[in-house]
Amino acid sequence: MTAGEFDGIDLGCVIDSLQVGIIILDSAQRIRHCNRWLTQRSGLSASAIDGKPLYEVFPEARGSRLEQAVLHAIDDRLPSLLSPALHGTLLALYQTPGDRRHDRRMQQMIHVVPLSDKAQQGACLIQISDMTANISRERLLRQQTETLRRTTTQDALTGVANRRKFDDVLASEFHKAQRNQSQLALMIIDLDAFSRYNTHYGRERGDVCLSEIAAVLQDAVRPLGDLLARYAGDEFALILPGIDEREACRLAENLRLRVGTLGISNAASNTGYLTASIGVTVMQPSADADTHTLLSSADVALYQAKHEGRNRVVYFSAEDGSFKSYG
Amino acid sequence: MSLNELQRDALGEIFNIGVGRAAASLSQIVSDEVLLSAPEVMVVHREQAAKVLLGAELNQFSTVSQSFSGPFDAQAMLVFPESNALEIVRLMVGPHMSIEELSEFEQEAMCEIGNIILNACMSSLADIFHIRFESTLPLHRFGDTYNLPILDGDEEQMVLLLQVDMIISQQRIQGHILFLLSVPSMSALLDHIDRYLSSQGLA
Amino acid sequence: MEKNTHPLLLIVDDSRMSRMLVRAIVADSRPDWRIAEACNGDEALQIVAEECPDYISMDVNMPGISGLEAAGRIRIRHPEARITLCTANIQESTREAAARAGVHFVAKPITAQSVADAIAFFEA
Repeated sequence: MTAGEFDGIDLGCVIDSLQVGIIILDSAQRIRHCNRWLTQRSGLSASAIDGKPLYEVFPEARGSRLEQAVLHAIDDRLPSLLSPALHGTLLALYQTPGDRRHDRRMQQMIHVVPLSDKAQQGACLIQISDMTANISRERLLRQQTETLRRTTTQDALTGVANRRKFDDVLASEFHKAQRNQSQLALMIIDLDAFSRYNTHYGRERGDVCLSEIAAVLQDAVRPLGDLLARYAGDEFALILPGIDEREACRLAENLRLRVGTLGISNAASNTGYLTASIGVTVMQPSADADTHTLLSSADVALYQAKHEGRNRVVYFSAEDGSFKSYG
Repeated sequence: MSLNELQRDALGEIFNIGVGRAAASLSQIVSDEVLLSAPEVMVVHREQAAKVLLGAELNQFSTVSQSFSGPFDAQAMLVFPESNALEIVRLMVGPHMSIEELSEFEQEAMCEIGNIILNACMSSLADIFHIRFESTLPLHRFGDTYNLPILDGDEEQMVLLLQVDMIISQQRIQGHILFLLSVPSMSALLDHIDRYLSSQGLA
Repeated sequence: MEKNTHPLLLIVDDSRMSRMLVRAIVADSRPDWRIAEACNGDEALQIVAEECPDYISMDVNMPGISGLEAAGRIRIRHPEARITLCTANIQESTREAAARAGVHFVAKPITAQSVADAIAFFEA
């Protein structure tokens, strides 16, 4: 068939130069034209394709969604898209002869669009794009995103969540607790006399010690739902959704003992080893409450623990302003 | 502008035939049963349609749209909450993929699923009314409640709103189909329904 | 109850238009048939309990029990009733379920052709 001209340029040439596969079908689903891209990728000569029924040239398309899409275009005049995710390698098309030998078909995105021929009969255009490169590029992009996501939400030294992640999770857990009318516990864990530890042993030992303690704390929390974050230099915070006062205080006491029994010597402390003070609070946030109340309650509890002589757990209730001391 | 009971019933049946065909196509892709139903059609104003969608707890949406033109024009849109869309893709593509891998395919896969459902609805109308539409290719967009395309524009438009229930592998997933029609297109649609009903001796 | 000589057809469909369409087409080609209507499966079972129809045209997707279930229950008590499933659900799995339940499958839309197909099955 002759493709005609456009401003003196042969349209057949134009179609042959396209970097997508083109198949033009008539209303009887015979191939009226295909371009060079397609002959190269299919390994068939134009003469083996032109004028042949689609399913004789591409038997793999019979009974497939491509067949439906072609009928839809010819009979109903509606366009279809076949995505690589759902069909991927529908047609036997290959980037290289090597791929053909190993039957590594290219990933395809196929558009099927209605056309009208001169006799106003339904005809259709099948357009095939090679998605192989896009898919591997997306995979790479996803890996990079994952790396980036980890580095922007993780504390570089200890590997636990950073302050930004903590703020996000606290806001969303708070909102969830408001909606579900459930309890939310928050703990702030402060290492006693840690600045003096740093001065005495050097910042490098201090960093090692922070990592060790972070690992011990992380080990004690539930892997799903709870979030341990580095809140400030020597402070960690722990978000515990759905936990009541008794459970929260029991866990805090457990954490305090774990830190103490690590037996990290601290000449700067009067106990002789490194200890932690922990402020705990639990609330069932009302609709008009905000995270500030929860944070400052945990802070108040922590100050009280320090005030009572450190190495202890103090619980503060924002509802009745009462303290409870453990340890 | 509103539909009487029989017009609404007719439109509901026509769309159910459409989604039934779409379900058959989807089921062929997954080689498993796929159930699709659109229990009823509502005719609402654009703002009301937006409200129905916003009523959903999650406000991130995955939308696929196509513009149909013919004896009447309609902008058709399939809208799923984002998490439901990902779930559909997971069920369609298969359980062997991680959620990250799935999201990389999500847009095109949803485009195709939307294309199948929207084309089926419109060709069901076309078959019954003996008319023909042209259409653009499907376009996928993510949107939240603030930039959902339905909220755009100031021209007065009516919306045919259908809730769709999709069941794949025993999982029920809900979404909506919307057809946005200008007032003249809406009255042309009503004319076609009436003509069909009277040709069948029903009105 | 004395058996009426005019066959009774029960049309079960939640769509009023669909019931009206089947009724109009049947009334045209089989004017002697008596026609009853139900708009869901439970209503169909009630009608069947009073007088078992000779023929039943049953939709599948309806509020309450599905048409397949209703057809199954009717066939247990009235194996002689001839039932067609008239549905927009055209999947292979529905056709197979219809075959297992011993009922005839008719794809919507309801047209003179599809109703003629159902009538041919009823009278076979």
